[in-house]
Amino acid sequence: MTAITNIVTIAAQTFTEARRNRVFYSLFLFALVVVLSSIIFTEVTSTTMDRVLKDTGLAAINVFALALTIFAGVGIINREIDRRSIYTVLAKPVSRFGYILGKWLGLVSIILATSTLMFLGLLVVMKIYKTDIQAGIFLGFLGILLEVMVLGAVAVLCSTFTTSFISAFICAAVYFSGHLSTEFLRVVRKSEGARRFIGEAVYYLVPNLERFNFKYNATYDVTVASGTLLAVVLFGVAYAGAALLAAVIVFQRRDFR
Amino acid sequence: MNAIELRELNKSFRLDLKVGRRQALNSLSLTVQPGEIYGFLGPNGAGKTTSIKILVSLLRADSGTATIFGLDPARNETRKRIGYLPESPVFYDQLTGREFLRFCGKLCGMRGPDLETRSTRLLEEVGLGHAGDLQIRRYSKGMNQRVGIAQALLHDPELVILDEPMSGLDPIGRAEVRDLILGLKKRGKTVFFSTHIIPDVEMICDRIGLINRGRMVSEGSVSELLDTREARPIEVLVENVTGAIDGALASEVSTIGAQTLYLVNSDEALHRFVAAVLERRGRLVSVTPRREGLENLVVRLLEQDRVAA
Repeated sequence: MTAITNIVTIAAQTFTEARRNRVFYSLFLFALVVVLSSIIFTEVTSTTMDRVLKDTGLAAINVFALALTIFAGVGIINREIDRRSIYTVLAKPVSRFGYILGKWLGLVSIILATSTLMFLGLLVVMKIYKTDIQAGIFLGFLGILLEVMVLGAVAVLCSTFTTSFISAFICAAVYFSGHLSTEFLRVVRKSEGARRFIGEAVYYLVPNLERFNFKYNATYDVTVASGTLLAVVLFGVAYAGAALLAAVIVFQRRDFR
Repeated sequence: MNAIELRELNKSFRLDLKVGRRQALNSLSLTVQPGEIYGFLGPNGAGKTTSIKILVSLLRADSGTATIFGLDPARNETRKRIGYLPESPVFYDQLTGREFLRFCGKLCGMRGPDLETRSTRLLEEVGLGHAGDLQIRRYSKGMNQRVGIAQALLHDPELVILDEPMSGLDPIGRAEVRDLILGLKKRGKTVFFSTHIIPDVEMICDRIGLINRGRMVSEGSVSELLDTREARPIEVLVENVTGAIDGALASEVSTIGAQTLYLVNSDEALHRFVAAVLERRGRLVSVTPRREGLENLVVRLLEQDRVAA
């Protein structure tokens, strides 16, 4: 029970710290403006108004969520080590596992809360423009959240052993390669020997983020079989769990000089 | 059972390929009794902070053992019994002082009105009653230090470990912290603190440990250390001495008229010096053991340690 309370306490503190950061507000306002600007795109489009609205809105939420994950996530542990604020926390009866999990939960919570606000804004705009709100748009939003959950865990893992700059670089690389992994595998399978072995290893190591891409379903209101959806959710949870486990293993061994 | 026990503690850090590893702690042993105020002294880089970090489980020793009340510091049950103030602390600057204390209290298992009452009382005690609702980023260095002390005492721990608690405080603040430490002792708490400010140690510590290059140089109560033979040079005032006295026996301090003041470093040297004075038909006016200040003692012990190395 104490362990859970500690995780929630650390998550709440991470949430509050991020919420009060000025950079966070700038990012949020910028994204909100982009969501609302979908109205402009809608006004200048004659036939596919509803599609443009959903496309632009979800893309803005996705960019914002990604930017916030990288901005807040890549330094979430190492910044505290550099500033030495971690000393006070880890000297308390807090396990390192609880600390990592609390930090990740706090990060995901702030992104979830702000993305949900933006998503609600998008739904209001859709309502104003009398666009049908169907299951697809929720599916698109769920995909974004799953992607953030996975990338957040990768960011936490990186920040346990390297600098913010390198963490940001790794996260960006994971993001782009994660979206291109199917094409990457196709290329790799044309090669042979060690190159193929290494290529395949990288493919299985990097999360296939295209699995979370439901924007097509959102735009054209295409449903997904519940089995497929469950598999995608489980994949996201398992990958995030594995990344967090790796983060805990690295963090357990760390000395704080 | 000892409040703190370090036994044969070793710790080294890898610096870079050229320099290799640096030995931060070298078979360091010490014990702190419950209810004691223990001052941990040493120059920069002596290993004070490294020892403290091992005690609060931020570092792992290469070899040797560290226990708190006989328990492993890595266990959460042990850390519940410790309050810790890091050196030059930095806290979550977007939180207010009160929010930060609330956060720390919750991590120590405190809840509800008890936590609120205790936070308010401690903010008052450390002189931050007026600034509890101000964000920590607006705090001065001294205020930061004070909120750090408050979080260390919040859960009423049995052992308080303070790494340079006086740093960043003005003389009034230092006096307040001294009173706070003495107040903890009165309530039966154990206080272990490192500092560079020797007069503070002299005033409040039951025992001190002086370390250098990761080794214990000297340990004991302030009076024990000051009363050791080596620590007591002897002032000898003589008059009408004809001829010079061997400089190896005593050093001449000053001469007024026929009287000369000498400083002799040991009892053995004193015997030979007195014999030399009498041989030269001189008269012994006074022999006074000089009580060395702790500051001088520390400097001298560190110098001896440096020469021995």
